[in-house]
Parts: sequence; structure tokens; C-alpha cells
Amino acid sequence: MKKTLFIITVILLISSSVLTAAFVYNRQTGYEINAFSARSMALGSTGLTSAHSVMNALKNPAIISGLSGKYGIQINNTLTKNDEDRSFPIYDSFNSWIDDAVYASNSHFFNNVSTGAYWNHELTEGVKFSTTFNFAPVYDFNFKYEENVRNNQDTDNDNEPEKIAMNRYKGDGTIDSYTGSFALSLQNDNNIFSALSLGIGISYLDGNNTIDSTIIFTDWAKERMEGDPDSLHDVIYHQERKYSGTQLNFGLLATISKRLKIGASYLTQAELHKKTKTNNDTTWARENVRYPAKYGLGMVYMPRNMWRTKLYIDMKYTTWSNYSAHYDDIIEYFAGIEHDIFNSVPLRLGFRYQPTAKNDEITLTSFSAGTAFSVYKNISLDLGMEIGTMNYKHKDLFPDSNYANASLWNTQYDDLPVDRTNPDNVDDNLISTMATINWKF
Amino acid sequence: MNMKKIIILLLSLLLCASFLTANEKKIDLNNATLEQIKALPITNQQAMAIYDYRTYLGFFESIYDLTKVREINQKTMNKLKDYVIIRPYTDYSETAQRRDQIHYLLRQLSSNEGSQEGVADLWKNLLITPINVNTATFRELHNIPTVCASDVKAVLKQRRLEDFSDYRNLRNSPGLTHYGATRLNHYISYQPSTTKKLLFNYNFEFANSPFREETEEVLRESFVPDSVSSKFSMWGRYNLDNANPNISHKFRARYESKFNFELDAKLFRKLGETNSINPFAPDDDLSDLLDNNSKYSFTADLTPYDTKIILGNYRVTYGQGLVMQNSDYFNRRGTGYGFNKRVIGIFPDMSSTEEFAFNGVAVEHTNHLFDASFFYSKDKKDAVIWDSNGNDSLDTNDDIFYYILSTPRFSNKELENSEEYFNQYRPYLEEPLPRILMAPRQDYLEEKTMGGHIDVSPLLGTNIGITAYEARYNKHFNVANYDSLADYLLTDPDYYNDKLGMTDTDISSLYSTKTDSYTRDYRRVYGFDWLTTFKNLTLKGEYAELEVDGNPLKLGDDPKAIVATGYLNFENLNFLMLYRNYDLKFDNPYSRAFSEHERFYGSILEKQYYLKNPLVSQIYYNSPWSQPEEGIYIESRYRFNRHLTLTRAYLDIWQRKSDDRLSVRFQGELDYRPIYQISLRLKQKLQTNRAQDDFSRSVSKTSETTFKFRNYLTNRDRLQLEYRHMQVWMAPYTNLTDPAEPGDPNQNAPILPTGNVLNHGNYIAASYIHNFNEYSRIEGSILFWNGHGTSHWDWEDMEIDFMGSEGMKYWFSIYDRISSNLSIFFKYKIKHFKDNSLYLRQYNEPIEGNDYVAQTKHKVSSVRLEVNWNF
Repeated sequence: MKKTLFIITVILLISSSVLTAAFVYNRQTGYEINAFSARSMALGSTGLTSAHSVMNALKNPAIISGLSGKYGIQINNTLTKNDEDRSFPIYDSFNSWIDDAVYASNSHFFNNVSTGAYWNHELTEGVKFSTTFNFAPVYDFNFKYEENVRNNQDTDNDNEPEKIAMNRYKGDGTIDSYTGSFALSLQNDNNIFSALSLGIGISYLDGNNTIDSTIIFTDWAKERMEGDPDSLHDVIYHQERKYSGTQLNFGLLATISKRLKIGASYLTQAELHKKTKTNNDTTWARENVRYPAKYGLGMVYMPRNMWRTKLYIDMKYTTWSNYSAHYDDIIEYFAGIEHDIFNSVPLRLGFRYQPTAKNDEITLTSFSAGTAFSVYKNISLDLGMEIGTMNYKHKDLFPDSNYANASLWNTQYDDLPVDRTNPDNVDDNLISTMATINWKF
Repeated sequence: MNMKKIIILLLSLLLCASFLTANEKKIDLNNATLEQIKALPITNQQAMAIYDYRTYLGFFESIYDLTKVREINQKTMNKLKDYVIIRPYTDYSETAQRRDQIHYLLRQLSSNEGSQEGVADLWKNLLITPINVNTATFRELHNIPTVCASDVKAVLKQRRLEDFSDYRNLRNSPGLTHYGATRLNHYISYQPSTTKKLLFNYNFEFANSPFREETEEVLRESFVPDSVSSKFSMWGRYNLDNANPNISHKFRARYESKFNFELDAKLFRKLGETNSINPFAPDDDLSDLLDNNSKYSFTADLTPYDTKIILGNYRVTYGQGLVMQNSDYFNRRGTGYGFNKRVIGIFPDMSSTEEFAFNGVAVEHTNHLFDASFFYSKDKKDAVIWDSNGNDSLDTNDDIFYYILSTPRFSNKELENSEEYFNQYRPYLEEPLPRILMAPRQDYLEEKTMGGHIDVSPLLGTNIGITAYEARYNKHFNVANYDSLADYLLTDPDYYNDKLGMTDTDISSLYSTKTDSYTRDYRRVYGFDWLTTFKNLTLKGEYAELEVDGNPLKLGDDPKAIVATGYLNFENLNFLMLYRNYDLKFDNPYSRAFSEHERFYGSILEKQYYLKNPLVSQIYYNSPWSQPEEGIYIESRYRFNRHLTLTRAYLDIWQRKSDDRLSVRFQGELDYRPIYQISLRLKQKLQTNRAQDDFSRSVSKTSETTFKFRNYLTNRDRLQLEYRHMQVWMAPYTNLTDPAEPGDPNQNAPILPTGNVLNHGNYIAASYIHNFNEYSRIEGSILFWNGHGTSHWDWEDMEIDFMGSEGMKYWFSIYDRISSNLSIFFKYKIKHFKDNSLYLRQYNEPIEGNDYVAQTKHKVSSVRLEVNWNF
């Protein structure tokens, strides 16, 4: 069993590319990645107090002093399936709403890789110095959207509806973080904190992002233009963006008692240099964008239980108003439970509640689960899975002006049941699996 | 004493001393420090493992528990035997130990919170600090869940002879049933509590479940009927696709000593509401938060004086709930026995009740001879108002149509803004509509309620009580002229009255404070109740009157209501008979007495599409009031032997007062357990409506058969399979008998000319529970149903789900006690379903004269999270 899991994970790692997953919703800022290891994902993307994964240094650099062993390496791979349904409302003959009819359904796979390594050194008794290096995508611009735009006339006699256009929308790229972290930990049972770690992380952020938007009209649509096929213009839009900048992360981890640890972190605002080139531009347009500062507060509670148990709760305050005046600052909640069920094989469960900055009533709610196995002596494998959902209203990705074209649609009815200028319902579902391989020496 | 004996004695003493000395050197593993454990002849890693086991898994009960530590093998344990000792130890407080013993009962109470609205907190208090059976009053013992009056009488009768010292002593009380004794045992102690306790409890709930189907229909109903844009419905205008989830924080602090003090507070926001519940947010109005999104109460229980005082929000229930039971929830067939028992008296109220919550002061004195309580509340209530002063607008001088419980509870600003917006369009429609002049308003009515109850107990097991309350209003209730009111209520009163031939006596019989014969500012309800027991027979009942124009001291000249019950209780059999008769004009908003349906069932308020303001229909959809009806209800349970039980059977025959509809309902369930692990259950439901009238257009007959197979695979696993078949024989509805082809119904007459229709549906479900250990369990269910026009109800672990037409769903829940004082419940549900057949326009394009019949698919997923923390 363990061998099979190991082989599957290795295949996943080998087959990985630099593509990652995101929602169309986050295409401007990128989707903020919260789980940097399978364990963190399984525990609801917590990590401010969890000293089991070197990748959590990206959340709180102070935790690295708690990593066991002299040095170690970790590799993570995430495979994500993103399902997105867009729909508009339909009404009955009493003009009462019946249901939302899905007009575009997308399902795409993405994956990403991150890695980290650490080194621990005991300076004197009770004083430890630790350092790590991590590479991980932190903002993700990848998405894919395809829509068959169709006319529905004369379709009530079993005819397939004619295709008017193909509307494609695609984003690539990530902002990656190259982070070096350092932590110093002091142990003294006589103090208020029996152990205290302080850490700092210095990140260089580097990112590329391309956005392609194309609307290609079919020959059928062009023929409908009453002798003027050239009046329908295909849309081909291409934009490239590059980002670069630095960011600091300060962290603290304090052991209050044998049952409770608290962690806190402050990630500074990142002023990124952004270069943009659109279609056939020959020069880059330059501007600075501010990615938000983050304040994190977390705890781990270790009660006495039939199974060894740890309860992690993290809260994060993100100042998205730094990025844009139209965005709100948000508070996110993360929670996870870990039970050692037998022979140190853990069962992990987690929950994440994350409002979005564009509208804090739109939230991503997800739950997660995972486990871990010892594969070979000092090699272990963590597995995590997360299922999340987000529902919101959004305007049509096929521009509304196209619907006013009387040649393509019958526009004689003023009270079309579907008012395409109204925002449509978007139902986004995310299923992510993550595997982490740890080597400890 | 000879020399030999002296030597033996000395040697024995020496041996004992050496043992004692040896034991003193031994380390008690349950109390040793890490350094002491490290001093044992084991490695540091093994010492750490022992220390961690004790800290994070549990204390050692014997030396052999050491082998449970992964790093300690048999050989090491044998080596350690000489150096260590295990003394029984726990660092749990008495309360924590008690909580460990009854944690499963606490979980059950939490999951029953829906049906036993608001009383679970009281029972949880009793579980943690059991009541002393040797001093408890009749009412205190009778308030314990599912315990019946004859059992309580048996206990009190025996107590006159001697105090109880333990359960065996109690169990020997003549006349006390086995079931009654086991139920009592969880909630009672045999000695007074001497320890002082300070208890805190914090409960958090989050649920993003969708609105109920009928609520969504109401909210999506357009106020501008010619438009199909969703912006003309409350749903579209307030973007309820992204409705806020249901969130509540409940905090309870309790100090138990000679006197008991309890401080409770609750902060909540219900599904779809927009108020912020952050008390620290700088821009928010704290007074709004306290008025609309919080509850609080302070209780002083002066036990030595048998007196209880509550300030803040409290709950009051007397008798059969006919005069007073201030809850927002309707409890179908609330017999007052078994699982439907009412908890009598006044208690702090941290339930979800908002509209009928009381806020003020309540005092209760209880002793063995009499109980007396008094309450006063001043609270604002939501109401539906209409333009009674005829100034073509809704203002603060208008009269009230009735109370309303709204979902979600829109603020007055939201209501007024949306009405103004809809009113802009209504006069300019092809068929112009007048302005909306009947609408709900939040906190429109200020109600000062004063009342009390006196209960005398002349004999053991016999109580006679009087209850009365008066509610004073700052506005008038006015439904005196129903004909003119119909113009405000209905979009087309002529169509409704003339073509459909319907009248709503339920509405026209409502109480008015302003009529041709009187004008007053109050409503008064009074009545009396009784309870008596003869051996194993209990007789209970209540009579009540609403003062309208009769003499308050004369019985029978005002609208009245009565409930009378008789209950026989044997070891293996119980038998209940209940008679009720409520006058149509007995309009007591605080009555929650036994009935089959809510008030306004079958009235125009059920049909939001006929109403000028669809929101008004929530008077029916959220109705907590009992329907005026007369009927007789018989229920029984019989355990034939250890293999076969008639778990519950009832027959109800009743007549609805609003239209004299006669209905009969039967339900019976047999449980056969060939062996303990396997249970086979067969359940049958039958209901007939209006069967006495062959010429009525609305006769219906329903039959539902359910078969359940339940198998305890191990003592930790339970598998259940369920199959259900349902049939409804009824008058045809055109939307069920229309063919699925397009066509003009007027020209081609496609409606099938059926005499009646028979809808039949099936349901199949599988569920599984696995208890990992005493602390953790997982439960899941998957089910499919095909209703063909019928509907099914499914009881999930914490809620009941309505399932129309056709679909499938699956859900799982995890209950995890993180520690003895912290538990988490998580549930995730996905439901795919098709709606009933409906007329649809042709996709994306209305074609004149053509309507489709089609079904539409839905998918709903929801999450529920609950955290419970005691400290």
C-alpha cells in the first residue's frame, strides 16, 4: 500500500508542470494560495503554529525552529480540478423564477509544485538557530474559460442550435516567492513562555502573467449579417504582465503551556513593479502595484484525548484595500483537527472560510481531509484533499453589446426571460489534492 | 505470648516496612515529573513517550497500560515494574468527569434542539448538576424529559417513607416504570450538591443551508408581474443568491452554590440577514445590534427560598400551551407527553425565538403545595400593517393586520425602499396595479405583556392552575372589515372570491382591538389547567378563553379552546387519548397547543402569487400558531416481547374549523428484532381529507409504507437501509395532467380529462454510522427519491429535509470531542433534485400561446459547523 502511494506520488511529481489553478474571479490579483503543504491543506490551510512543514515558514517564519531533525527537504505537488458553471435565471408563465439555466460549463485540471529545505543548529543548550529556503507560487493567475455562444431559434424540432461564436478566455502564470527565513528559539521553563521563537523571512517575488481573450465568430454568424460579413469582428486580445518586488515576513511562536501554543505573523505589504504589454505593443507600460499586508494569529491546542489530538485555529487579516480602493480588507478563518488514530497514522480534517476582497459577502468555503504515512525510514508522505465552493454574480464574459445584434438574435421581445445585461450566477467548485514528500536527516 | 510468635510478628513488621520503603522509592507514573521519569532505567526517548502518553492520551490505570505506549515493549515494562507504581489519578474536575459520563446525552440534547426549542439548555444544566431527588418538587421532576406524571408520583410517594440513597432504592418505588426510572436516573442525585461550581459554556454555530423551498418561492415572487427581471423580487433586489449564512454565538455562565446565578448572552444573525454582528465595528450602531441581533438574560435562583428571578429574555410555558407558550416554532402534534413534553415554568431563553420572545422580568416561586409566577415583558414585535387610514401610504398611524415571522427579517429601510422601487412600475404596467398598501414592518408594535400563573397541589400528583395574561398594544389590530381588507391583500379580489369561490374565515376571525362595538388597546387570555394521577393514569388538560365581548368572569361567552388528555402508563404499554376543540375566533398568538396543522393552512396566505405583497404570505409559511380544529387523537406504544414492539401508533380524526374539512390520519410502526443486532421496521401512514363529502372537489387520500432494516454490524457500526412507497389519490391539477408538448391549451385542449390522479413515489436510502471511539463519530447517508408529484421528508441527524419530485442527495457529518470540554460538529450536504412539473416558456424566447411542461434541475450544497466549549 505504502509503495503504491509512493509510486503514485512520484508520478504526480514527475508529471507536474509550472501550471497552477485559480478561479476566473481572481484573474486581476491572482488567486492567493493558502496551503503550501499537504498537511496544511488537510488541516484547513492552517500553519501559523504548525512546525511540521518547512513550507509553513511562508506563513510564519518562527515555526522553523520546531522542525525536527538536523536538516530536511520537502517537495509538494498540487493537482486541482476547477469546475465552473455560469447560469442565468428562467421564469415560468407566472413570471416566477424557476431555476438557473447553465449556459457555460467549464472543467479544467491544473497543478503546481513547491519545495523547501531547512537546517537546524543548536547554538547552546536551549538556544537554536534555524534557516530555510522555500520556493512556492503565492498568487496564481491560471484559469481557463470556454463558451460556445449559440443561437436558439428553430431549435424546438430537434435541431441542434447554431453556433455563433467561440468565446475563450485564458490566463497563465504565477507570482512566485523565493524566500529565505531565519529563526532563533529560546527554551526556558521558568519564563512565561516555556519556549519562544522569533523568525524573519525575506522574499523575492517574481511573476509572469499572460491573459488571452478571443471571440471567433463562425461562418454561419457572418453569413447572417445580411451581406456585410465584415461587420462582425473577431476579438483577439493578448496581454503580458511581469511582476517583481520584495516582501518581509516577521513571526513569533510561543509555547504557553504543554497544551497551548500561539503563533503570530506580520507579512509586510509588497510593492511590486508591474510591466504590461498588450497585443502588438513594442514597449512595456510600467506601474507599481501594492499587494496586501497580512496579519496572522493562530493557536494550537493539544488536549488529552483517546487519540492524540491537535486543534489548529488561524485567523488572518489581509489589507486588500492597499491594492485598490474598491477592495475591502478581509478576515479569513482556518481550522483543522489532527488525530493520531493508530501507529502514528494521522487523520486530519479541516475547514476554511474565506471572504473575497472584491465583495466580502462572496466567500470561499471549503473543507479538507488528509493523512500521512512513513514510506521509508526518514521519508514520509503526506496526502491532503480539499473541496471548496464559491458562488457569486458576475457579468457575462461574452460582451453584452453582442446580444443587441438583431441579425444574430431575435430582439423583438422586450421582455426576454433572460436579461443578459444582468449579472449571471457563477458556481465555482474546487477539488484539490496535494502530496508532500519529506526527507528528514 | 511466646517467643516464636514475637519473632514472627517482628519479621512481619520488618517485611511490611521494607515493602513500604520500597513503595516510597517507586515512582507514581501518573504524578511523576519528566525528570523523575527520565531517571528510570529507560532511554530519554522512552521517558518522553511515557510523559507524552500521560499528557496527551490519558492517565495510566494499571502498570500494563505501559504497553500501550508505542516505545515501551513487554520487556521494558517488566523491567519498569519494580520501579514504578500506578495510583488512580485524574486531573479532571468533578464537572468534567460528569460531562464525560453523560456526553452522549448532551450530544443528543443538542441534536434535538430543533424540536425542543429552547429547553435543551435547562436539561443540560440538570445533566451537569443533577437535581436532588430527595428534595425536588413534583414540577421539577416532571420537567425532566420523557418522564411521566405517574412515575413522578410513585417516586414522591415512596419518598414520604424514606429518603432515597441510590438508584436501586429508587427503582424499588412501587408504580415506577423501568423506563421512567432509567430516564430519571440521568438527571437526579441522591444527595445535595455541596460543591460550588463556576461553569462557562460557549457555543458557535455556522450554517449556509439554503432557504426552505417555499421561502425561496415567496422571495422570488415578482412585485411587478409583467416583468421577468429578478430585480423586482426581494430575492433579486437584495441579491439573496449570496445570502449571508446563519451565525450564532451563545455564551452561558453559571455559578452554583447556595444560590444559583446564571448569565446568558447570545449574538446571532439569521440566514439572509445583512446586519453586522461585530460589536466592535466602528460604523455599526450598537443599539441596533442589541435590539435585533442579541438576547440576554440574568437568572437568580434563590434555592433556599424556592424562588427564581429572571431579568432579560425568558420563556414561559403553562399547562398545555393553550394560554401561554412563547415560542416562534410550531410543534405538530405536541401532545405534552413523551418526546413532546412541555417544560412548565419560566426559564432563561437563548433559543432562536425572536418574534414571541419576552424581554423584561419574571418571578417564580415553587414549593410542594403551590407554584406562583408572574411575568412582565416590554418588547417590539414585527407586524403586517395596512393603509387603514386611507392616505394611500403606509405610515406609523396604520393598523395592524397580524403578527409576522419573516425569513429573512428585512429592516424597515429595506422594506420601504423596495416597496418604493416596485411602486414606481406598478401603475404603468399593461394592466396597472395599485400601490402596495399592505406590508410587513419590523418592530412596528410595542407590546407590554403581563401575566401569571398560580398552581395549587391539594393532593400528591394533582395540580389545578389558573393562567392569565394581558398584552397591551400601542397600535390597533384591525381585521374587522375583511371585505375591504381583501382589496389590500389580493391582486384580484374578484377573481379570488367569485371564480375560486374561496373565503378565508381563518383571517376574518382574527381578533381586532377596534370593532363597531368596542375600541381597546389590549388582548386578554385566561384559562385554567389541571393535572391529576390515579395509579398509572394521568389526566391533564387546559381550558382557555380570549376576552372579546363577554363577561370575564363567566365561562363560555367568549371564544374558547379546550384540550383534555388521558394517559395510561404500564411497563410495556402506554395509551394516550387527547381531545381538543379550538374556536375559530380563539385568536391567541401565544397558543402552541396540540394541532395537526399551523393556523392559515389552506388559506389565501398559502398562495403568494395571489397576493399584492407576496411577503405577507410568510404569516402562513412561518406560522407558529395552532390551527382552529376539533378532534380526537389516540396514541399507543406496546412492547409485545423482547423481539416485537409497536413503537408508536396513532389515529387522529379532526375537523378544521375554517372550512369544516374532516380528516383522518393513521400511523403505525412495528419493530421486529430477531436478535439484538438486527432490527426490521415496518411503518404505515394513511391520511384522508374531506372523505365525508363525495361532492367536494378536494378529496385526497394518502398512503405511505416504509420498511427499514437496521443492522449493528459491530458495537461501533450501524448500517441502515430504508425503502418507502407513497401514494396520493387526489383531484387532478392541470399542471400534473398537462401533456409535455407545446400547444395552446385553449385551442387544442391538451389537458387530460382525468377524474382523479394517483401519484406514487419511491424513496430509497442507506446510512451508516461509525463510532471511532467514545470521542469521535462519523455519519453519512445517501438517498434517492422519485416522487411523481408526491413529496418525502427525511430526518437527518440535526434537521429535517423536504424533498419534492425527484432527486438524490448525500451528506456526512463528523462529531468530534477534541477534549472533555470541547466538541465540534461538522456536516456537509449535496442535494441534486428536480422541481415539480411547471409551465415554462420556451427556452430563452417566449412564444405566444405556447407553454411547455418541463422539469428543472437544481443542485444545492451546504455546510454546517458547530463548536461547543465548556470551561
